[in-house]
Amino acid sequence: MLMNKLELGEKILQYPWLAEEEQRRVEEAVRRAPEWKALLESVQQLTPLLQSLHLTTEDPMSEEMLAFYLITRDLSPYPLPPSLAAYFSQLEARLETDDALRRRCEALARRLEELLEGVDARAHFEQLTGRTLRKEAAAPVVCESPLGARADLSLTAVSKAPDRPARQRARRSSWRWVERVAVLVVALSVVYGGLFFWSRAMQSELERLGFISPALLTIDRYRGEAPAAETAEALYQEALQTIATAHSSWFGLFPRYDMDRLARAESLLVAVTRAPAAALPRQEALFLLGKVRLLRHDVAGARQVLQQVAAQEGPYMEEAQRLLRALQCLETPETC
Amino acid sequence: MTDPLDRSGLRALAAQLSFHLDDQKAVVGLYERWRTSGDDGALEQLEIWLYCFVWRYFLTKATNHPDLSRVELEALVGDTFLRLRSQLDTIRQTQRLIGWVGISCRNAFRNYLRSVRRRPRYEPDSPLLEPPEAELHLWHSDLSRLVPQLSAAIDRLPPFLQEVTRMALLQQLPYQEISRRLNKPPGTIRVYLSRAFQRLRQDPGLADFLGLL
Repeated sequence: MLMNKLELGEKILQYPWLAEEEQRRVEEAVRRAPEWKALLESVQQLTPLLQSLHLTTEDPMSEEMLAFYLITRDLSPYPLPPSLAAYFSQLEARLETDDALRRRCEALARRLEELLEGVDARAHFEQLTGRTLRKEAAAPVVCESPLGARADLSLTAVSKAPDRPARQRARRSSWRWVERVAVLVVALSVVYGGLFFWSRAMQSELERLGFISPALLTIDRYRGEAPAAETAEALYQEALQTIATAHSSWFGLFPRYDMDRLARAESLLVAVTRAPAAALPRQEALFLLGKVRLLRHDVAGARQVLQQVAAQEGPYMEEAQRLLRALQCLETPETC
Repeated sequence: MTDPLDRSGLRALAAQLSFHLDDQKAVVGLYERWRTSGDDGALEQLEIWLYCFVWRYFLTKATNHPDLSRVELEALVGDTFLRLRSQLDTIRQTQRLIGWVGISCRNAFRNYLRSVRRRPRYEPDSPLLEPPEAELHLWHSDLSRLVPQLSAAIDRLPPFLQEVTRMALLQQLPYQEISRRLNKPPGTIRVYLSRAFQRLRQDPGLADFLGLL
């Protein structure tokens, strides 16, 4: 019996699953219609592979294929690759019309539940690799179309939450970096804060009172040209530089002062305060001299010059008064 | 009741990948990136992919082997994963990564089946726990490897051949229906399918299933 073109095409596509006798008939038909020869040969070459697929309506669908479907359809939040999606659509179409197949699928779902009972994949993975994975909530996932109308086969109750597109994940990834940086900044701030309080605790009260802000040590050039050597202003600038070099710290923590340089700065500041016509830097010099003496634990000398500053109208008057009150409190705490 | 894939954490783990588990192009791209740059982030992704792949393979097999306990399954997954992980940098052709992982999983499962058959039986008349046919089945019908490989091979075809091949091989549509859906004459469908099948025959990902390895 002769086959028409469509029948022959149909038979060639079914060739891997045909009985041997039927295969011979197809081969005979192709000999009479050689334009089909290339297709038959290519199907014959794929026969070992196609025979494994178990997709013909005559063959029972393999348990393995059903299990593969149940696991794969929702394992990943990303859409299935196109061909796999087409394959699963085919399975789902059969599942919707075949009650027996559906019951087998449900039995497999129960077996999968048993096998996964108590499994902690994340802990297992971390144990095997020594890695620590980032925390991420397991989002219930349903693949988008074409599998949207999937049979409800409960591997079990599959949530109907929407899929997460890759772009959203990329955005989340960038936010994750922002979060990491923010956590790092907070952690560093906490560490620095702790060290700061430790550093403060290591200092004596006199060292805290005598702390000289770097702003006080900046050399102001508002007077124009550099001053001539041996003038009060030149001595004052040298004193500032000496104090600056006497100070050292670790990122602003655990400040230390070189006592020799402080002594040198003190003598320079004394010279400034005694120089004639040195009105402008005089109050600054006296104030700094008081601070330097506090750092050198010379309380009497510090009080003497601070009293002079506190008695004069000027930018350092209030600060000098505050330091004097603090010294008073140190000596006679009951009065504060 | 929550889904066991959720409870076990497998889905959350797969969600840490930046691609679908079966996106072979992305997996091979990641592997090549790791081989050329040594990037630890790429290696971590690769390890997660490998772990999920191995889990899926053995979980699929386990549904058909009631004697395989959960403890044995987890040990099988762990051992196979560690062995593959230790050999990740030994693959000469990066394109062969997924085939290599699949074949290694198959061999590990075959070894498991053999070890089960060698176990002493407490009752002399009891049947073999795993008949040798189960091993043969691994060679003839290893669907959990074949389906993703065939799907990926079809996705690698030129776009004009993909749809017709999906309809013919994966959806098993009748020849006439393919012609009707694509609105192409039967002669065109014949030529398209011939070309597509010839290309699939040459796809390295399918060589193992065609007995070419």
